[in-house]
Amino acid sequence: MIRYIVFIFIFLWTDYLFSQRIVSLLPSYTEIIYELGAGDKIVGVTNFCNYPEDVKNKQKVGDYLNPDIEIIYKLKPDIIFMGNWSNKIVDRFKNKNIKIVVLNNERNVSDIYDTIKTIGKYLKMEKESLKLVEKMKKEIKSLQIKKSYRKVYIEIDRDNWTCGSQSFISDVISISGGVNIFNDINKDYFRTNWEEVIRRNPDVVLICGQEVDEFIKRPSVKQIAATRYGRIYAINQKERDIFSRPSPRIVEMIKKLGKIINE
Amino acid sequence: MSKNLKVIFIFFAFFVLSYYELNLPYQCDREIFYELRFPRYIGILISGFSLSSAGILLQYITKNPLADPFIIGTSGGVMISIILSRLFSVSSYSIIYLLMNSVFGLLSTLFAFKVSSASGRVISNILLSGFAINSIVFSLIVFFIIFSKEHSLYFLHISFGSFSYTNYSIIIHSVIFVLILLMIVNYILKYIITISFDEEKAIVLGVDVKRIRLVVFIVSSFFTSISVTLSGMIGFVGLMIPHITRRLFYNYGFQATFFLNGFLSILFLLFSDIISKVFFYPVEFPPGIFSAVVGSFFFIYLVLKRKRKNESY
Repeated sequence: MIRYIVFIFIFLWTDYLFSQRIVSLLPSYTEIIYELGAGDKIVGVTNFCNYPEDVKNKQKVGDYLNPDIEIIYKLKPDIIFMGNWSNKIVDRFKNKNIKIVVLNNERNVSDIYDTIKTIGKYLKMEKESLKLVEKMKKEIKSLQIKKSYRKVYIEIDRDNWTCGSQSFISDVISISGGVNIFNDINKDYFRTNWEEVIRRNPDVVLICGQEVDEFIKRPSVKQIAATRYGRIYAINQKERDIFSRPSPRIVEMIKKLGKIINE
Repeated sequence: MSKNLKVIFIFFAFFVLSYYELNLPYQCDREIFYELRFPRYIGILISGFSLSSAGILLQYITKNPLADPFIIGTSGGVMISIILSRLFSVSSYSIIYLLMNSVFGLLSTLFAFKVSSASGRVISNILLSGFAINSIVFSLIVFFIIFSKEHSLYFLHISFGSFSYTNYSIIIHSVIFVLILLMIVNYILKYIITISFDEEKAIVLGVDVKRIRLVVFIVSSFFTSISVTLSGMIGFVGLMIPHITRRLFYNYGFQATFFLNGFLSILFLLFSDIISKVFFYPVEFPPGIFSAVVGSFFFIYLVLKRKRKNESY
């Protein structure tokens, strides 16, 4: 009997030794890890993680700017993936036996590939990560988007919050065949002037967190080409999540945008 | 400079700045002009005028150089109302929006008034009540930034002021409000002057000082509500501009000072908007940041100057 118990104990212990316990501090990293097939190793995710469904069973550790350090300690992770948010949390875990991987913010789609490769490297899943990158590249190629280079205005949040060339959303738009009207502005996320939007005269308008009816009521909105040709599209919350996260799901979004923009 | 030259200079500056405000950053067509640029300009005019009018009335009636609608907490009260009306989706086109803001501004002003008249230490008490209301407002804003991502950016932006939320119906409502308030001010003008001259003499002359003071507090709260409704919370304009006015136009009558004060404030807001258009366009830059930087240094300067004279609060 004792022999069995010792055997089971050793078995559990080895299991503990060889399995990695992962905490992911950004929704996009969670999605990438799941896509690589290491979802069962994740022990902690942020409150914003909502994809895939399995995330609901994981321990929530707070948001990515202010994660609950106590909970993270309790989870005893081996490896933490976090964004480049100039966070104090790095110093907190310096002397512990925890590997912290700080990944750079994605500025375009090829940065997403780099992120996937880096995550694969740290999870010892290089093969899978390369495969995933190849799959994404192939899928984007197979879409065969006929680029129309229409001017696109994207309103990420209400009251004219949009993105410039530093955001990867700008690159997503250009891959799906459009041109972000604020491509010349070297910022990732800013509030713009409504006059300027009208002057730049977008052919396509994508709005998040708002209805099309509400948008049409704005002053002088009839002047822009998008209203004249009826190319105003509301992006719902679920799609907005895909849109704002540099994750493998972006391929779906490119497919959809390719249809919307070049229609 | 002679008396008239100053006034001429102010009006000249007003026309120059108005020209640039309406023609920067590019010449626009008729429709954009009437639907976007002109309401923005009118919004700046009304907002600037009413904000500094509130400031100068408060400073006259409390004989307190540090009184300001931002510092005593009226702007904060209106901000609470703006947050609530956004959460319950009250349309900014209806008059209910302005009325609701006015009621909240009035309540927070009456709170400041009550606290200030509770004991003899008027000046420090008024600052303390404003401090309490402002910290409530900022904790509310941070609360919404954490829990309601949808509106957080709006609250953050409007708490530093923004001229891009104006529309014609708000402008018409607030013009009516401002005209009524100006009539009230004109009616109680002589009492305000007497009180600001000497409170004891005013009592001897038969002025009901307490009632007049209450009325002036209410009027200034309405002025502040209009300004905050139009352009968000722009701090320290109501403090800074009346001081500059009184230094520049010390030998003018009360009525002239009152209007010149309004014009100076308009000049300041137009100037800050032009700066943001020249340097940051097409990024919207909140005017409150500019005014807070200039104004808080001015505030510190005033406090230090008081200390040097050994005047205690």
